[in-house]
Amino acid sequence: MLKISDDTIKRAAEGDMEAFEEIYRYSSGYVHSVAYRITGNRQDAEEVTQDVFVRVYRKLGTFGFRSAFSTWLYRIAMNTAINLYRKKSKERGKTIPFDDAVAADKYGEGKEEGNNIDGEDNEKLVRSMLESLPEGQRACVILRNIEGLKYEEVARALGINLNTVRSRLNRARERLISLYGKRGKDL
Amino acid sequence: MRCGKVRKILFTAYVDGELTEKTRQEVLAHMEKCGKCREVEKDVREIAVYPFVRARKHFPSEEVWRNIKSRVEAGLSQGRISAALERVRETMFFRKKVFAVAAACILAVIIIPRTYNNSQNRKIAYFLSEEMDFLDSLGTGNGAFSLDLGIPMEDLFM
Repeated sequence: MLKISDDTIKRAAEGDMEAFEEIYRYSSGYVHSVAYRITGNRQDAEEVTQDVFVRVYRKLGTFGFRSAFSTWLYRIAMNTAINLYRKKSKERGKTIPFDDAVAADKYGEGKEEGNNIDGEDNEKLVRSMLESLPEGQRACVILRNIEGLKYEEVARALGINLNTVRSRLNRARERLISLYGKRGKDL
Repeated sequence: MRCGKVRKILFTAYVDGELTEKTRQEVLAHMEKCGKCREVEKDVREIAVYPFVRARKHFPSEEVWRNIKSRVEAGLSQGRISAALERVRETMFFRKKVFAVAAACILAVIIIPRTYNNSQNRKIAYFLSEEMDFLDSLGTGNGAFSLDLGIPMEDLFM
């Protein structure tokens, strides 16, 4: 989970661009990652990242430090990404095929964590798995398994209760195993 | 613990490390005896968790920051312009009120005496016309104020 000092947030809220850039440098990867996993393509993820940080800058003054900054940021990122995904879904048809070209282009070059030989295959698998899940389950899987948030943090970021997080993860995993597992049908 | 309950836990809290130590020990004890639940646990981890944990982290291009910065700065200057316009508008609104009151006073100063004069003039005109009618009636005997005494006017003074 992100940790940005209160002082940095306050300075950014007062219009200090250096402090705001510090926030961006620290958290843009998380925001972009969430946006990319929700929208499924680079262009939309970048659009979401821009919109999120412009909104963050405008709304920083209203952030009351009652919740963690990261939770607030994830919530904005998730809402913005889902809204754009829905909008684009309507524009392009019912579902958006995830961008298969992404893994092949230079996107994220040299920035991937680890150096898995099967990195590209895994990327394709992850995209396909996420695409097979409904929005709510997808959001939980992204925040829990890709971003590593605790259940409580996922609940706060999505504005849902803890049991909903558990049941969405449960259903998502059952579905993934039934679709992608050899023994899936036995479960 | 029975298989049904263990599997529910395996799909979520167990693989996510969100169990209390006591429950975790109970689940582990069950799995030592139950091969089917061990298989389920393996499937959950390998199929539904590990691919996501191994997923690449994606970072935005540098252009994204440049765009954000320019949008924020444009918003700031827009904000400054809006604030300046707002100040002007507020000042003008205040001045407008002053102008309106002043204009009303000026109009009052101009119109009221005129209206008064007009009404005075109308009264005088009415008085004069009555007087003229009266005098006229004295001459002809047909006016609104005719005095028909049965003798000519001239005889009255002779």
